[in-house]
Amino acid sequence: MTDLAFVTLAEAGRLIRRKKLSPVEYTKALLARIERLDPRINAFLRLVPKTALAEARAAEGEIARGGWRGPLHGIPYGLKDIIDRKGLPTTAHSKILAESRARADATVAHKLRLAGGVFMGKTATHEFAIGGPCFDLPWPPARNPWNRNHHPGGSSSGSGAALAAGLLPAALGTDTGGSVRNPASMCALVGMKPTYGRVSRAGVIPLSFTLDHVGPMTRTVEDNAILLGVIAGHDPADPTSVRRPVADFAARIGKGVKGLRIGVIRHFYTRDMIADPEMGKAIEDALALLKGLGARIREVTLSPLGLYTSCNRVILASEGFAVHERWLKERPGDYASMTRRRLLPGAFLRASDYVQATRLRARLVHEFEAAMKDLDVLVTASSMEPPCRIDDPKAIEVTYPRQARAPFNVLGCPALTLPTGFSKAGLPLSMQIVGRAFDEATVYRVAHAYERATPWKTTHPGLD
Amino acid sequence: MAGTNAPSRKELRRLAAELGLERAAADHFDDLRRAFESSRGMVAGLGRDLAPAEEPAHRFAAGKGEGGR
Repeated sequence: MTDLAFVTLAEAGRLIRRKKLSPVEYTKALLARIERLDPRINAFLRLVPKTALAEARAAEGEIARGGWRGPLHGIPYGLKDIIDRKGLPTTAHSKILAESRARADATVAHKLRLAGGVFMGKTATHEFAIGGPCFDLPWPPARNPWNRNHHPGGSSSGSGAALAAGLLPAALGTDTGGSVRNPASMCALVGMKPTYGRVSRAGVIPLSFTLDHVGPMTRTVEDNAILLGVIAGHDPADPTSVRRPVADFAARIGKGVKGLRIGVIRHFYTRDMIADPEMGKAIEDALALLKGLGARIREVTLSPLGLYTSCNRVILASEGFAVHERWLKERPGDYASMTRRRLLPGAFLRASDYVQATRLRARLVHEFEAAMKDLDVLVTASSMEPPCRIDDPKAIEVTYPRQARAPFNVLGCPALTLPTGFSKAGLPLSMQIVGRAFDEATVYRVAHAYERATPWKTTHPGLD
Repeated sequence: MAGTNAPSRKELRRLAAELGLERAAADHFDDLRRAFESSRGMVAGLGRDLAPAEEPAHRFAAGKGEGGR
């Protein structure tokens, strides 16, 4: 009997195609699990059971008539609540947009609809994808299924919590300074920030126009590759969207790493920031494993992590303030305090600060491209430590910047986080794999080789 | 603003008013102050390296010590 809570997207898709799994029964099983567990996890802001069952029935009927659309047909999924779904509010987890209603699907939501996915609901986020886990908002923050007293990461916190708890097999998040990859790190998931321009942002509430990305979140690498294949592609509605062919990202993931050249940006987590010893050791163990599988490993030195991070922060704060300026002037009290503190710095940055950051960005891109000339991927840390307690605002503030994800928003290249084990306290550990622009396929290949050689994807939190 | 010392409460209120953030200053002054400090940290983090002449597409000859090459 398949455990429907933790069946992979790929396996469920194969079973549905062979009519061994009913999309309706699958959806009902997950809805029942959500009803039972989500009051303790708070992953969902809005559940749409009637819509989900209607879409599941439609999928089942269509497949029965021989109209299988692809691997997402009949598969339940969730959307971070900054992504529009026609007819529903897109609240951004904020009082400010609590009464909003989307007039159309975001492009990614439309693609998931066309692929025959079963939309289950909107997932929690940090307010406007920048606040933290706040207790002064209309909805409670999502909690980490591995330990409910701990932070699930953010800002795509509900998507992460829902996946880890076995409430969904697939969800979308967004990533401006690491917000797909942070919950992936904190909840033992796979989170991909694709190349800038690879996935449309049309219909997604912006935070920072030149740093925002939409990305897939799943429990396995193969699932992630499948989901990216569904949402990727050129979209005239997003002027930053790139006209490039969409590969079958899952097609080559099983080829292994023999002969691949992997660079390690060790100074990010051993010198520029000192990672928690368990996190650091897990990355070193992963590198040893990849070497044992035939990869060639060598150390790479880039500019200090702090330079990348500052570049990200100045651009994000400037562009984020431009998005929120009117509301911050007229309704500052409707934001959570933590969100105000993260958006208001942009008011005090000058045009020249922003331009200097973009000049620095160009140099960092050049540096990265030079480093990648004779490498296939890079490996580094994602988070510097396992998740902290959710009710400790000081720990949240301290750990918030302790990450190495923001550099890859600055660079625009693909970056994926995946689990590397668990701390002695039972909390997730992780690493990050980074590729050349538009080479998500190689990132998936390396991630899959590691995943296949380790037991982490079959370990789930004990919630029942 | 970049490089200035921490402003007094009065100065920060005046600055906030110039920026149209009177409500934030009146009701959330502590958040505003922390945001100001945070912005200074962000700019300081950009480092020293962005000399006037150091634009890849527009490298020009400046005097010694002025970022010229």
